[in-house]
Amino acid sequence: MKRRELLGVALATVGLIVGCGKEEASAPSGSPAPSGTGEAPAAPAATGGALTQADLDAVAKSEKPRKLALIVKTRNNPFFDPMIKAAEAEAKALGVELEVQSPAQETDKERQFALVQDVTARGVEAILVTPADSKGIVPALKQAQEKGILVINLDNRVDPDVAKSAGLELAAYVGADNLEGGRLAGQSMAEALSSGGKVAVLEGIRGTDNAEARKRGFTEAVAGKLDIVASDTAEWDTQRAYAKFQSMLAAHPEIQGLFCANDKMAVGALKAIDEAGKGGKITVVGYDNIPDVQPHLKNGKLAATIEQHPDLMGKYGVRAAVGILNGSVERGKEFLVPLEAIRGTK
Amino acid sequence: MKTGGSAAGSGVLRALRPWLIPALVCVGFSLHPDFARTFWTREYLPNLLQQAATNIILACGLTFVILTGGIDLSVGSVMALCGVALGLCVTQGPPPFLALAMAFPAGALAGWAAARALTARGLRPPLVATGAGLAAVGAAVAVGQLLLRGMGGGVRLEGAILAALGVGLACGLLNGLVVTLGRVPPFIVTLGMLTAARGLTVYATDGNSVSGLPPRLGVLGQGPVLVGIALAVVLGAALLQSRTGAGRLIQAIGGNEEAARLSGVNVTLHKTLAYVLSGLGAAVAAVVLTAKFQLADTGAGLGAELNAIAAVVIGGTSLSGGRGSVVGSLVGALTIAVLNAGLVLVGVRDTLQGVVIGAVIVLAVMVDRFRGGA
Repeated sequence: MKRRELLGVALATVGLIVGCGKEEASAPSGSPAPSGTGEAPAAPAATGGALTQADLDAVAKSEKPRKLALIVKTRNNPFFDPMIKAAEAEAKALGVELEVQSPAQETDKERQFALVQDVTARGVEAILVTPADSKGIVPALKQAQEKGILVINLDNRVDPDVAKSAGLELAAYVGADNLEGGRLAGQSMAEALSSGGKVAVLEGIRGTDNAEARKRGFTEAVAGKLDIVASDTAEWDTQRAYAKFQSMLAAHPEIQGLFCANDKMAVGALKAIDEAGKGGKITVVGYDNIPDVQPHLKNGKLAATIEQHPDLMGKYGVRAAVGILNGSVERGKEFLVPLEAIRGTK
Repeated sequence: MKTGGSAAGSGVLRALRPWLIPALVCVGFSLHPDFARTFWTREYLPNLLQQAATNIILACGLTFVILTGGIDLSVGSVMALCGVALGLCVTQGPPPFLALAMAFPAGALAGWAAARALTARGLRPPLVATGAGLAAVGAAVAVGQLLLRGMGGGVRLEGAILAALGVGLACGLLNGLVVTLGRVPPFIVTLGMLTAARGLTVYATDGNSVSGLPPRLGVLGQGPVLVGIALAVVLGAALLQSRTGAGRLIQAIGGNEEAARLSGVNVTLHKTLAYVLSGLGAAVAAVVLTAKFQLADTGAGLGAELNAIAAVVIGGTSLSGGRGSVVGSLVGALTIAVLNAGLVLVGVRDTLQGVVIGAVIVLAVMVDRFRGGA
């Protein structure tokens, strides 16, 4: 009985391995699949210039029924909910079908990879994706591209170097400009502390694109107006921000302002400020405008936060996809959604 | 383990038995035209095996632990730790915790050898053996640290992979020894390891995932090589389980530990071996996962233990031990992969997929139990 079991496995799996081998063998030798109809081959990964809002607003309703897929990092993060809802509404308005897929956990990169493969197999015409792993997702997206599917990158960028070496050409990028967002945050801070002052920064995970850009933008905007006396990472995390800012405050009791590179960290820092009895005395600027900070904006403990408009990323991602499929929008370009500084009321 | 005198046909049925549930799942999905069109293609099927590979590897190792009637909740965390060990070794040179990981098996081995030698002379070994073990740990840590310092920069990829396997082995060994010698329930021991290994992962990296790995590592994580590794693990584990004395003894311990002990089986040794195999499985899974994404992710494998347990249980291995097989676990992992993929392929909403998968896992086990009892 044991021997038969093993034999069964061996037989069943040999077939699948053979399948693998063939796929692998045919992929490189075959010429890159035509992804579209006779257009110029070049177009580097979504840096071929900018799309304007007018370009995208002009996109007409699709004449053919089309299927698109949106794959987000997870639904367990309030950031993605407006993105999904806006994308669904826009797909309806443009007369195309949109299916949404998401891993249960933001960290489940393997599942997101599999989801890209699955919607590819299902046969959609465009995949809109916010990569959980900007490098690791590339092979799956490349598979999709080889089947003639448009790959549109939203929010977190696909790593351009890895994409280039794999031969992945993004059809479009739609996201926010984190450098500009950092500047907006810096301006809000400088306005609130108009007579100058000492400020601190809680950064995101160091080395990541968005964390570095936000910090750089903020630093540029406050240069010559405010002194940055402390800057450290709390890795996007509420708990760590709470602990980090407690020690920052102990070391620099003179701090008058704090920029947190996301709102989750702002929530932690605000708690530390309250506990130190300094509630309302330190100007805090956050980033993302998540539901959790709405009460803090209302009671004025949070001076401002930056709205990145994930809803617009969803909306214009769908418009870009349909526009490219219709032939009215050029490939390989990017669109940066407008950012907005939301002020607290006080 | 009955091989009674029933007709030859019953043997074939038995061999096919673990395949019944995935077959039902496949047939059910195939009634849907979208699934039938996309799934049974030469393009898609290799994807499925690649998607299932890490879970297959984890489940193979875990099967041995569950066969003893134990459980290993730590495989996901140990996988992350092994991945980070690999990543750090290649990019920055061996992390300090590696010295500890290397020292620990050395100490255990020294202790065991001392105990062996003492019992042969008719002495009571525990104290001396522990002393010998501790001394060996101390020596090995010192030597390890010196070695690590001597190596300086990153080590070769092959060395880094060996280091990752060593970390998996050490975690498994620690689990096994605490379960057997420490007499702590496996659930608690491995829950502790789940937390500790994840903690060590974050400690060693400050929570930053390790990137910049050599491109040639990537070969192990994709295409036929990935599938080949997974199947080699299955084959090796299946042979070990069904064709060697150690495999049979592990199963016998799960059937009735006391009876096994009384009939002279070295329960401590074989139980510990089961946890070591599980740790090694986690390490192999870590290597292919790190290769696949070219990234040693500190968040890798969160919740992976639950998928692996589900695969083992769907595969017909009893959670109370003694009954089951590695081949069944392969089938279980494939079933989960087919379910995951099938729901997307037929267009079930992402928000509902979890509900369906949960229900099918329970139903699958129910079906298996009814057939088992009949």
